[in-house]
Amino acid sequence: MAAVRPYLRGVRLLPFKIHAVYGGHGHSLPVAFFFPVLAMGNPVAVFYLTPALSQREREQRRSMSIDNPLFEGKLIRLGPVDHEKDPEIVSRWTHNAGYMRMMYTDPARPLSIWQVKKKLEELEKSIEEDKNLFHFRIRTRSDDRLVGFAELSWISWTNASGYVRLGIGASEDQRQGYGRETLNLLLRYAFDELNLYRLTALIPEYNLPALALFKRFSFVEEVRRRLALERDARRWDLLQFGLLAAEWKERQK
Amino acid sequence: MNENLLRGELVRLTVEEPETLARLESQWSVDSEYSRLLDWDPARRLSVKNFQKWIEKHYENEANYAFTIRTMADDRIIGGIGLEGIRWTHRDCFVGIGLGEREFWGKGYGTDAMRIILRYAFTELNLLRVTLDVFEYNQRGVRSYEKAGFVYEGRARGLIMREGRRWDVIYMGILREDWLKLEHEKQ
Repeated sequence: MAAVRPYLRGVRLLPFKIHAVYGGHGHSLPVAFFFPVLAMGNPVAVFYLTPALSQREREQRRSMSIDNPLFEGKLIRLGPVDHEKDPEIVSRWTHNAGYMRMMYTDPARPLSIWQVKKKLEELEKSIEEDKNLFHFRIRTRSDDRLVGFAELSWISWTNASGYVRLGIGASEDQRQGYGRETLNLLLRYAFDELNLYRLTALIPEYNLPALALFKRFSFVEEVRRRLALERDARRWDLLQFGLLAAEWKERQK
Repeated sequence: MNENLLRGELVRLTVEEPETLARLESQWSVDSEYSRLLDWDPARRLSVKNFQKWIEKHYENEANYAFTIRTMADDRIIGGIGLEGIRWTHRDCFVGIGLGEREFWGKGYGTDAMRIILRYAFTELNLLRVTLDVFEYNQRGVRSYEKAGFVYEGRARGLIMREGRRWDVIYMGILREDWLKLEHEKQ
């Protein structure tokens, strides 16, 4: 009996009540069958049998989550550009030189609402035509307020690789966990939906919050372009970080 | 003043009409190894017209300085070299080179062209740095860039997939101050 034989035989042999237990996340496959052992009507022990799963099947089951929300975190939600409402907020961000210098190597420069509108239209066109850019706006779930952007860009489909970047626009929205939640969603999207093999992040040496965030997600420093940038009258390195899908999956366990 | 800014020992740099280049590129692309050394996009055959459109667009972009490589001996066009994606405020750019005529591979022609364009980048455009990337399987390229003064700066692991396996992309860079020292030592 204890030698776990094909469990259908076990079921036949045991006239006990059978409780099928199903896994979470809406799985339809049974995870285990429980067989309470009753003595004089009281439960005294429990047998349970689980279908033999290979290591691979176990891993697949753990991560098989078609119904996992790709665009929703606890605090934020990833969505498309809102051409009506976004330009005004983005224009405000561009007036914050600190933000602009962290996010862009182009000279920091405030943009009018009209200029931002044009840029967002260009972005939309690029998404439609180039087929290698996935751009999201980050909004709070509580009040649907725009707080930043996140994107996977320059995707090379034959090499299954791309670049990742994200920004939280207003200083009062930084350090609230929005970036961390966004990167978590974005990586899952890159590796589980776009099936990319690896991602690259380009980060100037002086962008300490970005360095901390990407390192936290196991990105590895791969290239150091020495003194490639000039700001505040001194030269800075431009760092290139990489994360492989395999490393990301390892981290999910 | 150096009046031979665009002349080296084996080659000189010129600029040709887009149509001339498009015909040559279309011809060179028969050689898939050339395409695979040049770019991580899939090797493919494009029409002359398509190449010409691409070249014209490349020429129009002010962040690019594209040149053609001609031999000094018989004035033959053997390939192209160019500075791309110049970030003027940071005075940094990428350099790309390709020799379409494979009989000139491994004989110093590419290295000579690279030396010329570095001189151009550092003494005419006044850039402070030049960057390049090269595929792990292109060791001839790596040796040539080292000869020209480039230094290894890291590698993007398994960035490209070719012939069923992953290859690293190697990044190299050269700073103007280091280039000046090398030039000084030569004299």
